[in-house]
Amino acid sequence: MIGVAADRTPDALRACAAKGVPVAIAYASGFAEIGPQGAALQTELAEICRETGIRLLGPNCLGLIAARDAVTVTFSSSLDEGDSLASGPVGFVSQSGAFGTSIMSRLRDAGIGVSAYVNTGNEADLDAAEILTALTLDDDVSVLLAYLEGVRDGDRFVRMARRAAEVGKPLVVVKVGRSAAGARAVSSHTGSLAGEDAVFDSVAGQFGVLRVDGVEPMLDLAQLLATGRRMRGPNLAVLSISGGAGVLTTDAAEANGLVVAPWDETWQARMADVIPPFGSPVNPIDVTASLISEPDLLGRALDLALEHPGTDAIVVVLTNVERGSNAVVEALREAADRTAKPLVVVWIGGSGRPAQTLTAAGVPTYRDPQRAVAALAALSGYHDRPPLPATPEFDDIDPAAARAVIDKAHAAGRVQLDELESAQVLAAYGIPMAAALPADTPAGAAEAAARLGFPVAVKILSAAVGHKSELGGVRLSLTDAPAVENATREVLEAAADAGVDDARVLVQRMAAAGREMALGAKNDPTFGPVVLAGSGGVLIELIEDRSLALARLTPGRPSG
Amino acid sequence: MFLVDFDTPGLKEARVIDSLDEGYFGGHSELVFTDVEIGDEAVLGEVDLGLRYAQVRLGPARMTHCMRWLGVAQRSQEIAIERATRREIFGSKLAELGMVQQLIADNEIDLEASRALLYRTCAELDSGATATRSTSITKTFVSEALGRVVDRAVQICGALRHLVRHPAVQVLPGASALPRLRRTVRSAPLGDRAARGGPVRGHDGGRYSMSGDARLLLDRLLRPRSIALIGASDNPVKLTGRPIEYLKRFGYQGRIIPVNPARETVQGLPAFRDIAASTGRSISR
Repeated sequence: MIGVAADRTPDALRACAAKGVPVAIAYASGFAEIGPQGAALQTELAEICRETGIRLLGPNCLGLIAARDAVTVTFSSSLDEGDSLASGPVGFVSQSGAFGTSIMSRLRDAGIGVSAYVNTGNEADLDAAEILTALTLDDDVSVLLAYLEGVRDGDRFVRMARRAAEVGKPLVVVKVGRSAAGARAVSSHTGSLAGEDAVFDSVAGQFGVLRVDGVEPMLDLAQLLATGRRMRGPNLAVLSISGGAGVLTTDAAEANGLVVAPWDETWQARMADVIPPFGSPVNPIDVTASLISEPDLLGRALDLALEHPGTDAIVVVLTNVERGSNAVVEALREAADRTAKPLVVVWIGGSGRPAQTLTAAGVPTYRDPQRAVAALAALSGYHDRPPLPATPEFDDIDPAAARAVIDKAHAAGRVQLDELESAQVLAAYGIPMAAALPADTPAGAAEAAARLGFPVAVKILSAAVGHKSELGGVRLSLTDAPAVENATREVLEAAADAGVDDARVLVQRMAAAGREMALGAKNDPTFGPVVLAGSGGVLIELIEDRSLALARLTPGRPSG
Repeated sequence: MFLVDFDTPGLKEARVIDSLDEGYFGGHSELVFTDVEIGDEAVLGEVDLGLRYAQVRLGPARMTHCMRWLGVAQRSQEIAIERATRREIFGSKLAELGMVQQLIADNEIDLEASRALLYRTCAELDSGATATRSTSITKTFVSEALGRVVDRAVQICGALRHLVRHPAVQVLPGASALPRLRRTVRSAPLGDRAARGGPVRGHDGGRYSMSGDARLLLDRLLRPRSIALIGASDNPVKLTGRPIEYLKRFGYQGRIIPVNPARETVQGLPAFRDIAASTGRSISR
């Protein structure tokens, strides 16, 4: 632990390295988060790490808590009370310190044990992804939680996420900076760059990362994941004390993509034998308030729901139950012990004390149906996640040819390709285009059309024009030479009117009618090459139907 | 790519690296070229294409390793079976004992799987593909399968040296230490690095060697055996005093080393002037 001020931290780090200390934690703030002067000091820390091999957590962090060996190298006041650390299946990494420890105390209150909590702060050396990677190897950890403001190394993050998915440890992430204002705030907080949110979203989708929007959803999901139980499908059995609460839960479940399907007649008849005649055996199942006075009733109804083959998880919805709640709690606990399926309780009214008892006993209990089903939906989605992307090999591509086209444009001082050049780049990667020839004059265009075969399209060809149809620069389905000559004349005039002085035309064979799609690619500063696919055509910006994913893509279903 | 005569002036063999790999004539040398001049006739192929030639060779060469290893594994299995069908112990042949049968069966499975991978990958190479993925998988699997097969064969042959001394098996890395091989190869890489005290980083020329470094990080970050606290305060309520208070209260069993030049003791523990002066030994709880 290096507890000295920022300006003395580099010397202390050097001394540690000289002593052979393998890992140091720097508490001080006053680094990249305060501006250029602090950033220089932080660079110095990174240099020391690189030169000496010492690893550094922080600076601007409040350390870590590792429960197994009671390693509490932190000044977090969350440890001010108590004498034992509530160990458990969760490994939690936070880039933010105080906020992270407030989540820690919430986890404790929710009865969720944490094996390791690590605050990475400014990440001069060790970053959240590297710590999470280490935690994927920790036998005490089976659920990973992360509060992130930015991703320092996209490649490392992806490897980590892939590894977590491979070893079956779900990773729940709260990643801030969804809004532009939020992203700005991030850079002044821990000096991170938030990165483009849509790209992070797509990476999360591709690699099975469970991204949630805030602390409550993270806790709700963690509570469920910490039980180690998984859903094999989206089907719920909803058992409620009140018909109204059951309906509300069912609505919320369906809105979250879960299924509350009516049981078939045989199973309804069996349930009707268990519950009072004024209940409903259909699913949602109204067990009725009789369950308070007849503790046995809930147990028998639960047993039947556990036995029902089309049920992937059970939701029990309770309202004001206080007197007699002990027997209800006991019945729920015993039922949970008898099954490997998730059993969650929504306890809407009352004092909240029975809910705490249940939570402490490892039965996830929520105060609101919406939160319970959102957590279940995420769990179901985790089971149903797409396979991890493989990395295909291509042996029919010619990057050198593509590079030559781009180099030529660069040499001419351009940073945009015209359509013909774009087609050449695509051809180098084996992506076919409708046959096309460039032309300078109406006569030349007609000759090109004759060579390609009618019908053809005539399009304006210039590296200065991105959106051709807005300029009147596209004429379709031209069936003879005079039509091509006319179209060419008009397109060139439209170009001249718009002040485009280098315009030629591209004569292209008409493609058969079909669905228009857009494909795009760009280099994301954090994650590298990203591919976009979606509906194409002139309304592309309006429709906004698109999917993002990291290259390289393999056949499979889209994510994000 | 050049062919250079060994006695060319300026060419020096700096050292022969002491490698586990004893199967190569001449071993693995470190060569130093100082102002070596050679003629055009020394050039192999075309100038500037050496790296490409070497790389083209890599895929198929991996497979020749695998073929050699498969041969060694096959021979080890034959020796083991011969031994198991001949040796009588406690009233029955070795081969009639269930555990020995399982060792032999497991060897057959490893041999068959290695052979299948080799066939498939070689067919892929023959079709003109680079087969980077397949050759990597095959080399990894077959080399590990070899270790398993020979190890099981050694178990069947017992302490008898005749398997280990067999010429086929002698080409194995460190064959003379075979019975101990499993343990040593597993612990060597990490132990070495830790002993040298050298860099133990997640980065290695831009590459990230995931599990080894991550496991080391896990142990060193979350399971330290001693913790020094630079700037530790005697006041358990202050920010820099809390960690020691927490470590004591929550029952950390390792060594706690307060570093504070202004104090003899910190929260009842002897303090050190600076980290360089700390011995770590005198502090025990």
